[in-house]
Amino acid sequence: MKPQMVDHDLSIQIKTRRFGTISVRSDTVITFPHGLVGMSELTRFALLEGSGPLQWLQSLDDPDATFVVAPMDQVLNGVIDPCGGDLELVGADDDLSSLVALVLVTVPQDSPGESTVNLMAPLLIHPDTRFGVQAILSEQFPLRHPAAEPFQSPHAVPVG
Amino acid sequence: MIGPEIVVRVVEVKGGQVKLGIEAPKDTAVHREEIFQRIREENLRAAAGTPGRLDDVARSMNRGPIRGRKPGKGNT
Repeated sequence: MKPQMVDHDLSIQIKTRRFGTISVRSDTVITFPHGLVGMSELTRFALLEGSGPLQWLQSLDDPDATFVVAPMDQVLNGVIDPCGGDLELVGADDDLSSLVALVLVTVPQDSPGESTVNLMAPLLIHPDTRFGVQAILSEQFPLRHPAAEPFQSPHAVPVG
Repeated sequence: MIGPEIVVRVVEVKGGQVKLGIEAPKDTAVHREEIFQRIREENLRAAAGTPGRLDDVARSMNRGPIRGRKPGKGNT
């Protein structure tokens, strides 16, 4: 007789305000050891399917804390310079290329077309360790950049 | 000194303003409190404003992806 794998053993049940009770596989939980900036109590998150490029980032510590995130892939290609401590925290050492970068999206009530993305403090997540950090970049990266507009990196000026 | 590795220096005193310099190891993040607070407030706004549906937001973003560029590549 084959031993039965019971998926429930790998899942945790989390109460959320937005989604009701959700089931999250424990190996998909993302841990932010320091929480988010100014929200150190929010250390465990799940990424849930959203729409198009957008995903929900649901806190597993606070049922009310639900964020919207968007990918920031190409910004990682050499234009951002998070501090070494942040990289060490997520287990990336100095290797930026392995990280997933997400930006938090702020959606104003009733005017979703005026949404902004927080490029100053992106979330950097190591896909293997599943550890994350909200990095604080330089002030050249805007805190509220219009989500519908492409971002011209301040570092994009050709050198030399 | 703050601990063994962090040095705070007064760089300049001019017109009633004091400019401080902070020397810290590369692994130590040094940020002004004001920046920290602004990001904290934006995080709160982001959490408070989550919409019922993401479709409208996604649609507006699809018109223009968020994009950084590699330094040194032609940007004409």
